[in-house]
Amino acid sequence: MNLLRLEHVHKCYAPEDPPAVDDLSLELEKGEILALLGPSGCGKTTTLRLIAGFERPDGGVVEIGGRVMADAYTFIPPEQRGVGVVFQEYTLFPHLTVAENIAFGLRKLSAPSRAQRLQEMLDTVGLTPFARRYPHELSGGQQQRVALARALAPRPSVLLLDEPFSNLDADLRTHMLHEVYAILRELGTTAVFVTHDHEEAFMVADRVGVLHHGRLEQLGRPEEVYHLPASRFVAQFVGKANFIPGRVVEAGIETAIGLFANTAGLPLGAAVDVLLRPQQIELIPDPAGSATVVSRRFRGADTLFLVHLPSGLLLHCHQPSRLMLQMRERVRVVAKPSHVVAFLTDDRQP
Amino acid sequence: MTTDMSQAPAAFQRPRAFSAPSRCAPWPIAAGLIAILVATPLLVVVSSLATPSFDIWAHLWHTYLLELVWNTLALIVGVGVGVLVLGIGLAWLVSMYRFPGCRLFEWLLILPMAIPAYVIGFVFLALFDFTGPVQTWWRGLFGPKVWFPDIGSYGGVVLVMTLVLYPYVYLLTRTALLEQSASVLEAARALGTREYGLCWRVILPLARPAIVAGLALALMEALADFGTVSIYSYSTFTVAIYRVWFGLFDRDAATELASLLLFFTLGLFILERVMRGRARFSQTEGSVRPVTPKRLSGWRAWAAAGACSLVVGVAFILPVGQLLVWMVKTLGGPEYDGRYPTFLLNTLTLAAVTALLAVGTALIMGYGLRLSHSRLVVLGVRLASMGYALPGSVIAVGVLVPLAALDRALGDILHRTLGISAGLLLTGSMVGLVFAYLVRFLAISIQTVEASLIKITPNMDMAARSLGTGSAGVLWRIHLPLLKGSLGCAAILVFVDVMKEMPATLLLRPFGYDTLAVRIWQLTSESFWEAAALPALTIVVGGILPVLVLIRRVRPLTHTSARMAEDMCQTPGSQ
Repeated sequence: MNLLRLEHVHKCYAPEDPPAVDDLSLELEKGEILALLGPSGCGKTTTLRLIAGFERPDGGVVEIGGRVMADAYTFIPPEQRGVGVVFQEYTLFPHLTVAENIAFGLRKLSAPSRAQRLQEMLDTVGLTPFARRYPHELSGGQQQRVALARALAPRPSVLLLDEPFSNLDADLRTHMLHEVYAILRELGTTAVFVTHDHEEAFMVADRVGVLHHGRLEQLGRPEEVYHLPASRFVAQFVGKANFIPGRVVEAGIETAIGLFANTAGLPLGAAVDVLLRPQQIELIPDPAGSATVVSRRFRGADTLFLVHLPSGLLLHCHQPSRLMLQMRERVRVVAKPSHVVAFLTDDRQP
Repeated sequence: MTTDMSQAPAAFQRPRAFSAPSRCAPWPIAAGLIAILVATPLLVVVSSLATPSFDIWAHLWHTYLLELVWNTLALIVGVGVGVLVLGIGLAWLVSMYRFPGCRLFEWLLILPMAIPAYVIGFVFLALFDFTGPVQTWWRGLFGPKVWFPDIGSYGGVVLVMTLVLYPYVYLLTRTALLEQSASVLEAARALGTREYGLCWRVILPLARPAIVAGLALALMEALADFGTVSIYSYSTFTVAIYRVWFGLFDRDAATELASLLLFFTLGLFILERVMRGRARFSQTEGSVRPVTPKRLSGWRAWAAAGACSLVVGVAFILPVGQLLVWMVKTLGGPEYDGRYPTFLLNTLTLAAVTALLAVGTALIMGYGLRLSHSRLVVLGVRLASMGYALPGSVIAVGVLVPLAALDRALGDILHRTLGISAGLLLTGSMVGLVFAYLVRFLAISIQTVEASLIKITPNMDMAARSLGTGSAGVLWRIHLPLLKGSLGCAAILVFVDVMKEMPATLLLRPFGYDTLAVRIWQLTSESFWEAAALPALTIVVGGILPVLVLIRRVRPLTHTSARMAEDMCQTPGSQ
């Protein structure tokens, strides 16, 4: 059964603005973690707010647990939706202690079961020694844990997290990411989280939805999204991408660096761009090679090269850092894709 | 004063509280209804301006209209010049220089604000009048025919008002000067401005918006004053409204006069807007390196200290000292009025009831505004905040006219249905008086509440909502605890202003219901100075409360302007 269902959801803040969320449909199963990924202003936070009930959709249906939360006739306010929210800046109640914050949503429980649930949550996030502290006496990571515990305490059917890790510095971020992931998995929580960082999304989510201009461009497993992007935008947003222009011929797709299989069955004669990730390209030192190394960035485990093709095309490629290439050195470019992804050139988005 | 909006986080791209309708509608609607109610007196007075009655104007013109206009203009000009000179001069001294006692003077100079003009007015009249101790002593020295300036004149009124109103200009200018960044001044020097040129070409122009705002506040107070001009027999609109109302029982003429006074106030309002222009001269981006004050030495240092001492002495220590002497004299003696506790109780009751209502109303309006940004609600809240610019006499008239009409209608209905003649139910009741206070002082509490509400991120509301709390619950469980400090602050400010308010109380109080301010007016208009000392001192003591609040709020400025928020009224939500 689908726990969360959005159907043709539409939201526009002002008539003169483009829609913030445009005809968005998705379904989420119980226990599944979905990441909404996209650049700022793509509508991912608005989607979250629509699910939480902070915004009312202009069109479409929002369903949680089989119950209609919002459509043309219904609007259930956030306090009756049973949805947990973790905010980017945590938004802990500054006048309440850690324990009071976590117990905030437990008013309907009897005193003993409230105390029991509070203790469970404190244990889960490992904050029992800090129960009597106030939010401003906690570190960023601890505040994050309180926010998580507070949202999870009333056993919400869905947990929504809005850029939960963006306020933490890099080290703590990875640590918290794994910790939160472990907690969510342990409790079997259904969750939607919003992020602009594709690595974060790939690490945590079962499925990733990539949003662009309010539209859901692709929804799929992280591997799918990375290796088989549905659009040029997705390809570029989830990692560095090279697009090599080519033309579809009988034998496949003909490009400046070789022939690729036409696995997608693109029409004969069409102008297309083949997607190549930097690590799908191999550089071989060869004085007779047609490409020239124009930039080199040593990064420890690997080296990032920029090579110049005679056609004027610049290619990014990752090479093992053992490969020593000099600037201006001639190389041969060998593409070794495990699968071929190509987009019609006319599709190029502005 | 400006509110720092930068604390509102840009978490969600559109930081609004809610777009979700239905559930939240009651709050904006309540806010709108209150706004309409509070704006009624203003609209009544304005509408009388729109429908002038020719006979009345002709009569006014032949009698004292010209004198009133002339006197009022002269008062504005005189007090304006006075507060500018004192306010800017003293602010300049304490913020640009270091001299003996400057830290102390920084806040001592705010103290005169605690004294209502009518109190310092009657003390000065008693001290410097022909029969007063100073002139008697002077004649003893130089013979009976020696000249002495007449305190009971235009000059006296201007002096008295300048002494209590300059702190508005002083405070705002000082804040502006302290917020100035040293690098701007250095840039000006590098561009070839001489040191004394800095003042006229850079510093004062930068502080202009603050100076103009302070000036407008001071002049609005001057226009609203009734007690001082009344005992100095200096006819301005407030005095005329009172006389026409109680002397001639001519309501229409009083309303027309009130509308004309409103015109003056509106003029000030527009003047302030025009003079301030679109400028918002503050350098709040990043950390500002403040200007280092220059250390004065030798006679300059002592002259600066002397000037500050003189102002504090004349405007605060002299009147308060004299009041103390009189009070001690009357306390044990036959002049002590046994009804003093009643007056005090009346005053405190009115002030407490109004303060409570004002804070509650402001909370409803602030929350309504937070939940709905519809133009109508915004306009309503702005309109309801206009009352502060209106003199008490204008509001009293604006309240009385509709109240009397309502009473007549009520009386009619009661008479027809039940056959009883109820008389005047609302006019001259506490209801009318408290309502008038509310109209006049609601702006103070709205401003305070709004400024603190803005600091609470809208996501705080959402967090609580998503945890199962309704909109009323959010107000009760989140906002109320977070706003406790500011609400207390707002209550104190309103409380003290109600204690001081004279004309509205005089015009609207229930018959025989005397407050401290009313008592002061009654006693001083018959020159019983000594007996007025006890009620006057009571009001001064009350008046010091908000000044202490102000000092707490202003003092951190000496370090950095960013710390300004850390005042007593701060909400814990903005840590």
